[in-house]
Amino acid sequence: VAKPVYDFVDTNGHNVIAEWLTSLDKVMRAKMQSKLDVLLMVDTDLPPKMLTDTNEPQIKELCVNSKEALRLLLCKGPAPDQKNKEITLLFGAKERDKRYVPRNALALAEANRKLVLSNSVKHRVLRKADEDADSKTSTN
Amino acid sequence: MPIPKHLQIDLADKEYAHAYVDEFLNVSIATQLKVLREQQDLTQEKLANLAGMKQERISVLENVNYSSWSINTLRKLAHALDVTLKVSFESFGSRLADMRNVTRQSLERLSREQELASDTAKAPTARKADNIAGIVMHPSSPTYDAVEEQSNNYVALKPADNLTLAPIGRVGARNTSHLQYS
Repeated sequence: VAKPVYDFVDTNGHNVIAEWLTSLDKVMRAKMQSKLDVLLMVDTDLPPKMLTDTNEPQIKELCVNSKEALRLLLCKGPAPDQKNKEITLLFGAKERDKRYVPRNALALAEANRKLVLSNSVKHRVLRKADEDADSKTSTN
Repeated sequence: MPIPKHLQIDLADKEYAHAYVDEFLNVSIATQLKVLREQQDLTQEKLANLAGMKQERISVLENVNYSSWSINTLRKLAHALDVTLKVSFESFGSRLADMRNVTRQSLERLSREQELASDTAKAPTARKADNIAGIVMHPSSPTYDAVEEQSNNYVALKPADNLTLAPIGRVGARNTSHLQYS
């Protein structure tokens, strides 16, 4: 069963994940959106190597490799009792020469994870599954 | 199969649309390869031996981020797994519908030998699927047990209790969604 996916929201109330996606080149955005839609619809344990480990134990990455190497940093949960039930997207980065851009992307993702842990209502918003988006459109 | 409304604006851009579904194609091939290998209780090494490849190569292919698929490689894997490779051009709507249906069950396939064994076992009670389209059986009527297996246009039935066939559609390959158990 697919898990609910949340976007990190910063202290100014900005959805940094949505803003990062918007900033991407069209093709890269399409590829990342496709992976995110799979994440929304499919059990994350099924597609092999969908979420890969990073040097930060709590942080995983969703990769897209094409003209650029996108690395969307995320975590399971993060609340301890929700680790197998939900996913939170924390920070959008790129990888160049085997290094994150920005260099401190992992640290920023970990800081965002801690903010979500401190107040999950304020610091994240549910990413809608496409069926929800469709039903919303049809009722307008 | 229509394109979902929420995607219609994004997919109006041809470049975006192709990048979007190509990425999903990579995910679906890698996922099905792993599902089929596990369905047959094969390790990566065993599958590699059957396909004339190295285990490391199977590991690379079983990765949703792999994108350099070739038909020849897929043919080798199909042969090793004893299933057939189906390559077809599809509409975007159809491909997006596939995206909503990625489950282990939807990706599993019987190997040729499993199919033959299954068909042999079921043959005496097989009925043509078209013959049961639209039939409604009430609990008081003679009833049938679960449709246990489907192959081509046939489904195997056996007498039992407590099955209602709802009055919709014909039985299609791998579609039992209209069968309701009472």
